[in-house]
Amino acid sequence: MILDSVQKTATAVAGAAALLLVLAGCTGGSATSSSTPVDGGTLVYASGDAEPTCLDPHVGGNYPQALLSSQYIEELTALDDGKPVPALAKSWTTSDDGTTLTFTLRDDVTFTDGTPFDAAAVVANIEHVQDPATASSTGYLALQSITKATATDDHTVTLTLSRPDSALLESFSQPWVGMESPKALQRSQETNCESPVGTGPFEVTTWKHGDRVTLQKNSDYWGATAPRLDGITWRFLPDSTSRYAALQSGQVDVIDNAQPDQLKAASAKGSIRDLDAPRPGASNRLELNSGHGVFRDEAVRKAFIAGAEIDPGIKSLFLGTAKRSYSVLSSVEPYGYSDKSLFGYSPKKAKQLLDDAGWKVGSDGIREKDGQQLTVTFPVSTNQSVPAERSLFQQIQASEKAVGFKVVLKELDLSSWYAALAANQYDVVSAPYTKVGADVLRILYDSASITPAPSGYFANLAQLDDPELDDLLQRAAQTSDTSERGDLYERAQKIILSSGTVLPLYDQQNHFLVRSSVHGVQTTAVSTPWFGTAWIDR
Amino acid sequence: MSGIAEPSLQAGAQRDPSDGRSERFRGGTLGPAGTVAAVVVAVAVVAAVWPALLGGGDPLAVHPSDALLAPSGAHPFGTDESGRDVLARVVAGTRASLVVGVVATLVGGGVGIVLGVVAGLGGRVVDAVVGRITEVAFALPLLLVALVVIAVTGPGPVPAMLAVGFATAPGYARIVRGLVLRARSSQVVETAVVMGRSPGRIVLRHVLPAALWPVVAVGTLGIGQAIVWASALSYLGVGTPPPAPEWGAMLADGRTYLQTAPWMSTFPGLAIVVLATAVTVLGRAIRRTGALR
Amino acid sequence: MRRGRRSTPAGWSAWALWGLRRLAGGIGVLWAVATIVFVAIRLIPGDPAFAILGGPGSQASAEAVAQVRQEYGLDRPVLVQYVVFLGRLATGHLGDSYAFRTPVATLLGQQLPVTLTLAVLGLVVAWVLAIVGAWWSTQRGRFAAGLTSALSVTASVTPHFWLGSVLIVVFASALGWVPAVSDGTARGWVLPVVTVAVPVAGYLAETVRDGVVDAQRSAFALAARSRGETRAGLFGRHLLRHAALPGIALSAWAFGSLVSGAVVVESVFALPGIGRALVTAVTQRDMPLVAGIALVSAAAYVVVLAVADLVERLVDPRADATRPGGRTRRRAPRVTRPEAGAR
Repeated sequence: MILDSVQKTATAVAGAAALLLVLAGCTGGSATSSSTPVDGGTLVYASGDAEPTCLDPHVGGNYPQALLSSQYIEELTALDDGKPVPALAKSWTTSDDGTTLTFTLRDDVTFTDGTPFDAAAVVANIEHVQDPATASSTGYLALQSITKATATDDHTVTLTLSRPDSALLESFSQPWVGMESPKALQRSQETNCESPVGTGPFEVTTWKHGDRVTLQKNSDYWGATAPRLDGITWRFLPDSTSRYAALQSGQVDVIDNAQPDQLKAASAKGSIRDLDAPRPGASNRLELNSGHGVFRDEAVRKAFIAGAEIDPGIKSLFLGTAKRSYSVLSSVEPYGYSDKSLFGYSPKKAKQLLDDAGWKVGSDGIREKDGQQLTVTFPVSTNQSVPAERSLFQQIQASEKAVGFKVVLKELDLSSWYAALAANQYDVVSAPYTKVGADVLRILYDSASITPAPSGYFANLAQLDDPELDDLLQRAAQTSDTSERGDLYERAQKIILSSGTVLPLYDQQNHFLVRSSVHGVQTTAVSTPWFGTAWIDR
Repeated sequence: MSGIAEPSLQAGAQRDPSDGRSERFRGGTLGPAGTVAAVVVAVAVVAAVWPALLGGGDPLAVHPSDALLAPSGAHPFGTDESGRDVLARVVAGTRASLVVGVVATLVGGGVGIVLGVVAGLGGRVVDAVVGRITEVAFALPLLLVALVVIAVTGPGPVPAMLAVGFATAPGYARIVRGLVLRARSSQVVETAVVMGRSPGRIVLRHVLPAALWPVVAVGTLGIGQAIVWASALSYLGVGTPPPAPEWGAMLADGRTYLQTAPWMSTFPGLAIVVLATAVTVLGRAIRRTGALR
Repeated sequence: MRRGRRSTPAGWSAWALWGLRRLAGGIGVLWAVATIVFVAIRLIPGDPAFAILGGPGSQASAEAVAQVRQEYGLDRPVLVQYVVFLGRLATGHLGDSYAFRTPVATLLGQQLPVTLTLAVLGLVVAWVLAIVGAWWSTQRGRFAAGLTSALSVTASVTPHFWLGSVLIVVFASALGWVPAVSDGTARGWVLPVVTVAVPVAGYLAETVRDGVVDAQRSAFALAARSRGETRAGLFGRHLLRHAALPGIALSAWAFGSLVSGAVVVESVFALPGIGRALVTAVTQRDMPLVAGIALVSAAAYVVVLAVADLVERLVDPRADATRPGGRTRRRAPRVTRPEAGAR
């Protein structure tokens, strides 16, 4: 079964249920909601994320795909408190030099199309992710260190690596490298995209584009508890107001992308509860382009950071549902390092820094130097930013204006936003990145990540190019000694935070609103809800 | 597909007294509805030109501690999620919204008039060609045209105005063509032809005025429509960039807080409806006075 | 003054000619739309190869890109691509969606009926509201007339997305009479249809009312009244028929407005129609789908125009003057009164 540290949630639910039972026994009269699981019923999930273009998470690899595929595809490892634990793989060993990783697999698992889960299947999956024809982005990057995968016997897989990779076990807990039936993978990509085959508690029956995906229960699920729901209806409801209204009226049971005011309103009612599951990987942060434009100057960057008033906005816009972060990493990452002292709001300091850097205040309040205005371009992706966040950016814009920056907010659709980033038409940007493990720092801040892919996309938007940092991150990726890793990542984060290229805001907000009639919801390694143990009492 | 309603002009055009049918020909006064509408439009124009006169405060001033306050003495329209005064934003937004509405209508009307006059005055072939072009333009839904234009140019108020303008042009073209045709075959023009006046003079003195003035009346309805379509573009995320106050954008953003802070969307929404209605009623009233013939 | 009427061939051959002419015209419109779409697509910035390879921000390798370019013929000269594009359209192939890798025709087949249902039901509801409004404003005194007029103008400038959300909050969240979003049941259609119908109803009400008012003053109406015809009977049997004509022309325009409105309404109410698909298609630069939607909308419009023309000819009391073959090519705008000069 796939769990993460929110085994605690299951424990809490069980504990609460036990408590209720005891109370019911004591008071003897009052009806409590059913605390014993009920079989049957279809859960209706309404997603506000963009509809995936392919249900196979190997292809591309984004969060909407992860949300869905968590129900029907499972992974070799899972996470407990951020540490890898067995899932489809029973155990593993690493060679002394770190270049060989051997998995021993479970032998009691079958895919929903009848194909057995074995070493050959794992090899087929790894090859599928690494095949350029699959066009995998996220999975491909995660498995980059694997040069060869061999099935040494029916349930043993040996991976040959190009270098020691301590992040690999964490990476294998992600849905983007989940295990699919090799027989299904042999079909054309168009067919496999419509209904991929996995080992999970549910399987895909139909996909009506632009409307919904229908999942039905996998009666032969190998896990300790069989799924209780008959199925899941996964609807795509892009309009936030309508989505919440549908939840309120009981038309849907679970929604994602809940807005802060909806979270607040829901917590006031008894009938809806908030499942707060921050995504792993990077925190929600602003990155300053240190490779081009006005932010090449470190003093200007520090001035921008000092001139951004953030805390009052977070309080009033997020209504207490988001906490300010001073770390590059998400709060669920065990190696996170935080430094509040670097990010205090001080307009005086900002003005001083800018004066010293030669930027004089112009007639309209905007600073100038050598005939150029202190303009900061800030492209915002309307697909990835919730309204509260966009309002926060407007507040930052206002506080920066008081200090002399002219922040130009450009709201763009996703394609135009990526195009603007690829063309270096940005000075500051907020680009969420979800990945399990601190190795995300290497993806985001190693200088190698400034090199663009053929599409023009590159991940190191801060354009940090620091050899000492590169060295720390690469060494951390190769050592499996946890204390050494911890130390290396801490030093790396210290460098990143003091470079003035990152302004952390808060954890990647990942709130799900669940009706109180739904019980037993757990979360996965990438903080997606998992309904394998869920039940509904209507 | 045009965003304006041509037959409302036809309905108005039917009030041509030379046809022996007139309806409520007030002969010069606007009437009670028209006067109210005129006052509203005047207030809007003042707000657009001199916002400080009407609504206090800086529409862009952010006060997070005052976020989402209900309407009160200090903030008659309440505040939004960043503590900005909604009244100040509605007043300041008058300019942006009026500009969008007027420019889009001018663009659409201008293009439409050119096409319509060409079609009406030219020979059968020219008319057929232009007719086909307008039919094709009609066949594409307005929002499809707008979305594609904006995908090409990028979002912003100017592309929004152009997109809405181009999408409404065929409607104007069709109306103008009809009016030109009717003017061509009217008694006045026939007489002038019989009397031997030059074609150029006939066109300038009789055909064009008869054809163009009624379009002004349709244009007033078009302004309201243009403002509404532009607000739909803001809803879809391709309108005026923040934090500039524009009613459509405010309405779209306010929807997020519909249940917790309904005043954020109610007042800009009312502003859109009130102005669009006033402009339309005023246009109708002016038409009824017979001043535009 | 005669308007140069041609002789009137009778019956079927006249209708067949009408049909052929409309068909030819329709094909011309579709060809023009296809060309415009092709040009517009080329103008949109961005490499279509990346749209195919998993959308924006894809990390596809250079080989994958090259392979896709070849497969989709993106490396051939523009004119060749255009000819191929037209050729495929002519044989009914709309291509595969870049994003979903499913045939565009399949996607549209699933989604078009939803939008058409919304548009048609919206038009029906709009007509009902308009007729009721016209009745109120012409038969019930001046105050009712003023009120209805104000209401119709207000209705015609109401933004869909705002109206939709307000209706959801009131009727679904607060009162619970109808579902908040579409769920396949009939009740799930109520709010979206009303939302999309209200602005159109505003226009129609004004037009029908104006038509009724004009018809009320005509000679035949006075004659009918003097014969003892009741107000209701007069309204239903005579006035409405005359007033309907400009309304029918307006309906053809209104259909287009309804389709545009559907783009917004489908997003608000989660209806799986082509309007909603259009927004995502443009965002994802999914060109075959955008082209498919444009063509399908144009085709629907052509059909609606033909139907409107047909209905007009059948409804128009001046039957003989409007039969096909009895009209000149250039005609004055559709109005209820006889053509200028034919007095």
